[in-house]
Amino acid sequence: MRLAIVLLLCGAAFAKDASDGLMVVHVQYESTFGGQVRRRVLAAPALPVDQDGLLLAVGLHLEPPDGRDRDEAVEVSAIFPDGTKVEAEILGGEADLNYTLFRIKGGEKALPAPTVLQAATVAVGQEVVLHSRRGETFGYAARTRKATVTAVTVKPRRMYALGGDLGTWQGSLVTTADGRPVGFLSRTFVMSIDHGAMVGVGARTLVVMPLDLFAHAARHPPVRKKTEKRPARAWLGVNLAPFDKSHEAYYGVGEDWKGAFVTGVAPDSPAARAGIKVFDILQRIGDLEFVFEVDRHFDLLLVEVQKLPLNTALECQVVRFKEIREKDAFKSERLDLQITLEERPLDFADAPETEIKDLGMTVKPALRTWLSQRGLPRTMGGVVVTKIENGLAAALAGLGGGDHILSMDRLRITDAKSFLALLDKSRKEGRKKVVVLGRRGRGTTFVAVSTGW
Amino acid sequence: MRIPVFILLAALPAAAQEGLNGLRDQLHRTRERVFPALVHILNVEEVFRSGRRQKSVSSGSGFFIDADGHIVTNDHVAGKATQLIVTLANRTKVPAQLIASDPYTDLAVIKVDPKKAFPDGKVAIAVFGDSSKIQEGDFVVAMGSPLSLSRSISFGIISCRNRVLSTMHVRGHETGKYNTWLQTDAAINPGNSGGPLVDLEGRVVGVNTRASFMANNIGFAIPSDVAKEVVRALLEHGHVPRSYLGLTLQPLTDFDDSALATEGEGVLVAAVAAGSPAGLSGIKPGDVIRSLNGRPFSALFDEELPALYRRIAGLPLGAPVKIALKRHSGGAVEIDLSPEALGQDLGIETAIPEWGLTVRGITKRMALELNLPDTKGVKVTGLRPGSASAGVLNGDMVLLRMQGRKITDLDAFKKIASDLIRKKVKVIRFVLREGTVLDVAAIRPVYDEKEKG
Repeated sequence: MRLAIVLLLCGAAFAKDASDGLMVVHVQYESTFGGQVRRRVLAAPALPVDQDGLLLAVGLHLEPPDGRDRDEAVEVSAIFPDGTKVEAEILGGEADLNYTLFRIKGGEKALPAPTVLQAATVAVGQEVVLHSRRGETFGYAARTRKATVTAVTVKPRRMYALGGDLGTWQGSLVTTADGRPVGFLSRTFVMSIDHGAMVGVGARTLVVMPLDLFAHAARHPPVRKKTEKRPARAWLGVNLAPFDKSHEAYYGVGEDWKGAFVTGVAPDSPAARAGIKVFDILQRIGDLEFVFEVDRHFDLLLVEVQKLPLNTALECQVVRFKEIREKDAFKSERLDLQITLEERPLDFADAPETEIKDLGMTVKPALRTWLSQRGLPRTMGGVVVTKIENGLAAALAGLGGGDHILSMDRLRITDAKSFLALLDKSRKEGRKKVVVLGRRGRGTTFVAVSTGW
Repeated sequence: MRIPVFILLAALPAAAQEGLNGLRDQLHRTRERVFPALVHILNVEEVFRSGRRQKSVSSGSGFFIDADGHIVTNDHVAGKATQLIVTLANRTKVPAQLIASDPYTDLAVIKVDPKKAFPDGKVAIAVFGDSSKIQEGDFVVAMGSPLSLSRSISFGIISCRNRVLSTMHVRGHETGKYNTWLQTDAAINPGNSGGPLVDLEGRVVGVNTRASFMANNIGFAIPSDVAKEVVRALLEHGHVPRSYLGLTLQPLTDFDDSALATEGEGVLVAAVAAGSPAGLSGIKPGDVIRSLNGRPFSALFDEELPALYRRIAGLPLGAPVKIALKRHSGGAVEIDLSPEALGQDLGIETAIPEWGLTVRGITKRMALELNLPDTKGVKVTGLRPGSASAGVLNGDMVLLRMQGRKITDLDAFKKIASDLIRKKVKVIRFVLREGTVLDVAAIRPVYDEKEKG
């Protein structure tokens, strides 16, 4: 690995035009639904980033479907620019940075020259080129299109917005007109209170994530064993954002201020118990200093937070501002608090999915974290529809993915188990329909679902 | 065997010929009765786009209803007008003014100086008919200015007298909850909006408002019985006084043979707005309302719901209301409550050109939709690219405080903003809410480049 790093740094024998070596990764998952086995293929352009066959691909669409684990992929392959297909493996990735790393497993074929993960900077109004490859039917032929940079975002890290309808170009490699790599086109998202970061770009926005963001990950690709159990992760219970220029301007402080700005504190969380408040600046927990540069990935710091020791009292240093009204200014105060981190609660993404075959739907429990992210009472309970099978009872009744089911036949649903128990009870009572109370948007509505399927 | 059409026409029995001639004569008489009252409306209004206040020009149709020069049209034609030019039947152009409008039914009343409207003293008005008596298959004529082609007539029949269309938002306003629609195959195109739908006696049975552009000749008009009520209220009060209980109702039709099956009549409560009179009185989703103030209150089908919402809207403000309902757990229950006034669904919008920002006041209904704890603050609605606000604020934000001062409502925002602009304050500090997250931000306006919008 050290060799790879040296090569990356000296940049010898790397591709002249980053798009020349653009490959495709191809991942297949199987799922059983309604008694049928289905295969779902995920594909994305991938960039060779070292001499040992390490490939980098970007896009939420590469995330395993239905909360599955990446290890459940039944086939992983990499396709060379000339169409040759070879076996590959998934090394891992980070949802926060929206990337996945692959490794080509072997074969005789020479690898394309890797690309240095250094991003060319571009300015508003500059023309860039998007490089992708068409689907399997077209033999993954190269395709390109031009776009113009419409905005440069530096909160919390430098990203570029592009003009035009680019919905089908997610995961494309973006280069300057003369072929210098800029980054990957990615869908960004606002992360949850558990992840603790706000990206600050709209949920549907496609932006270019500069290649630098992935350099650290490419130098240290994860090694995961198939049977590895996910280690317990520490939970702070705050929303964090980088203390950026806008915050500095708000408090009238200089650029030497470092820390993570607290934009939310979950009730009953370790942070709340420690006395951390909204608008505090978190500077240190234990030995972990909250120091980062805006252009570097703030998210890595949050990953480090999750590695902090659990159930141990840790020193926590925060800065709190107080407003001096008469001077229209703020004064800062340093506080030393004690915090004991807990194990992070189950994420909605990690929550188990339950298939209700004869209604043609799958559900997950509406976890407390899921509810609080939506500003709903944490004790509301219910299940969330994650999948609907066309033509079956749930679909015919008008239920849809994302619907939040609160009750069945007027009885409260707490989780998937209670959903199934109530469905069973209704059947035993000979009812041909169950009535569920669903929440969609801000309103609720009753839906009658036939049980005769 | 095919028979040429001209032979068929020639072979029409004399009685049929006479019938066709009679129909033509009736159409002519209808045209003569209504045409002099028909107007083309050119509307100039303020719109807020990309952080700017802009002028927008559109056109529609309308008709005189009295000798005072009042004209009925659609809210979406004239409801936000800053300038109105009306082209009369004699093709002269005269100015008009907006009197009042009602977004909930998409109706508006404008006025032309009667001396200009009827310069020769000959008053030309269209008379409302009784839409409750109209039947499917009745002949109707749509009059107006489709695609600005003024003084156009199209002819058809009533396709459905009692159509329910799901409540939709027209320019952000909820519309269609309080009325059913007359569906017609008389061609209705953009520009017909606000024009009369007339029976062959020359009476206005509907106000043309919508059309489906996915199909041929599926147009919709607001029934005259609804229009008469609304116009009367607009002329009398300047608005339509409506009461509000906070109930969302569902017809019982889908729930036979289920746990919600109920003997006798009633209507199901699907949702209860938090903090509303119904919510505070203890009415719950799943309750079946049997009567309101002693009179049956029932809907088996969707078509019956608008009439129930109209009954609620017509309750006298402040007067006690008695609701009898059936509750699954507790049998028959009587609830006393007091309705409150139905407020506006959308707040007023304003622009701060110096900061490249447009914001909207927050109404109770917006607070419910946005899951806000109250109506305090203003909602960001637009940002001018390149302005001080762009890249710092976004459209999901609610501004709560500015320069340490609370933004209680839009007026407070305007007052604080005007004070800060007058003093040319260079750093404007905001405390804001974005979803469930609280944050701070600061913008740095450059007043030398200020743009007056």
